[in-house]
Amino acid sequence: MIKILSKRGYEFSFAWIFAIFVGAVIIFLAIYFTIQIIGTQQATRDVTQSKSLGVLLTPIETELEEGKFAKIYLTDPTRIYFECKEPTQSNPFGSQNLRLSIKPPLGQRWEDAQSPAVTFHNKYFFPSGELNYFDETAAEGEKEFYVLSKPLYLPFKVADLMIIYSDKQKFCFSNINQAPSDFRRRMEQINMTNVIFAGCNPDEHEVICFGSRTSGCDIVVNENQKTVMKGSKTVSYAESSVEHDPYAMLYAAIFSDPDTYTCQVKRLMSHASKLTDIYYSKSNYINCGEAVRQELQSLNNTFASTQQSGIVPQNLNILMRELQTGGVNCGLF
Amino acid sequence: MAFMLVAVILFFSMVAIVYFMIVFSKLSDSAEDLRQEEAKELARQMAGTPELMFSEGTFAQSSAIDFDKAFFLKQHIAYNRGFWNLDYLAIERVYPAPNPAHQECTPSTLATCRYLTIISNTNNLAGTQTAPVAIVWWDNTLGIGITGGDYRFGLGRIHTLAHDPTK
Repeated sequence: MIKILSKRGYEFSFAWIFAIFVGAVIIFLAIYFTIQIIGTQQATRDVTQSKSLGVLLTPIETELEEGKFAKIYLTDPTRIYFECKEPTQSNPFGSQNLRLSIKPPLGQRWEDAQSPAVTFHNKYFFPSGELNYFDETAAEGEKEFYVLSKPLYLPFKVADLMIIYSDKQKFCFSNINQAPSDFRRRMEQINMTNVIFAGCNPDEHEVICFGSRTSGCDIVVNENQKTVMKGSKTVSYAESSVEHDPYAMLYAAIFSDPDTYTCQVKRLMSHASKLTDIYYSKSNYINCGEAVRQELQSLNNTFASTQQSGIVPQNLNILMRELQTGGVNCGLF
Repeated sequence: MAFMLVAVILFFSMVAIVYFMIVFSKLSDSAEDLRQEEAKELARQMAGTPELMFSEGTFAQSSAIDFDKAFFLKQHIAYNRGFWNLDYLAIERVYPAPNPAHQECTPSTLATCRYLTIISNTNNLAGTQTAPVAIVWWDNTLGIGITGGDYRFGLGRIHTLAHDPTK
């Protein structure tokens, strides 16, 4: 007899190898699809919230009111991205893109370019924030966003200007006594949260000054030239019809960033131009007379040139008042 | 063992398919709800939009639509291209009772017609939202203005249907 020494070995059959391989593939696929689903659900939630925000902002627009101030309460820290697109031939009213990003859970990083945008053509937002890489103004809030809605009359109502800022932003008027006489009264009547008129702290507040003083001021309003300077950029505004709050454009220029303000002014002028056409047709229908038609034409020309330049001319007030007198007399408005 | 694993995978795949079918139908309902909500808010607010609102001396009259402006608005095709995100917008005159022979408004029947359709981008009007409004139009037979005429007030309804991006 020959004793054959055999090494002890473990039989690793094909079935076991196959089972381990398939198991690994299943676990990999499960983790991969879970991550994809989480991402899709987050994007879905962001888009739904963006659309809801747009719908929520509709009742904040004014009808008979001189203005409205509203608060939007958040369940989670949120960033709202606003993008303004100027009017073009194919998009005569321009666009307002809005997208929301809710803070990711579990300490994930906040990515800028994730959620799809919702587009509006009939809304004009003036957010307080800074432009990001994608030409969007981002406003980030912890618990609340604040919205000031002011109607713009030129001299007929054109649109509601929605000024938006978050609970992380604070504003202080350092020399409000140098502001136009009724400006402080109107600001106090609105009673905006996080906006004060004394005790400015430059580390905490964006300081707003009236007149020619610039040191220690983040925003300077020159009432004589009708300009607002922020950093190195200057924008112009017009005091609209005196029968209503004339400072709608001034509020927008103070609280929003200059690039967004300029883009929105172009959109507003395009919109005003379309409204002037409608009033022109109506003035023919109700026989308002040649004088009113010429005033409408002059105003329309001014709107057209402002739409191109983004600079509001100083004679706009004069044209508005002339039209207002003639228009009211003939029953146009 | 291997076949058992394959059977388990097939079973959970079918469970996953059923789950995603339910989730996506909920998403579609949620999108439809948002569309309807948007149209409802717009129907309530349309009387206050600058294109339609009636104003006396630039002050808006509560919930009153300027029927003449609405007619001239219809001729601006720029508003058809998604300005309000609506597929259908119409104003209906209810009182005084419109002339049954004048269903859709034309320049000559503006004072007696029933429907002024401003936007009509769809034939399917399911889901249209309606709100009551006052309507105002210029009547040359009234008043002593520059060449005669004044505004006449009536009652009406505004109909809106939000744009459906899936169609």
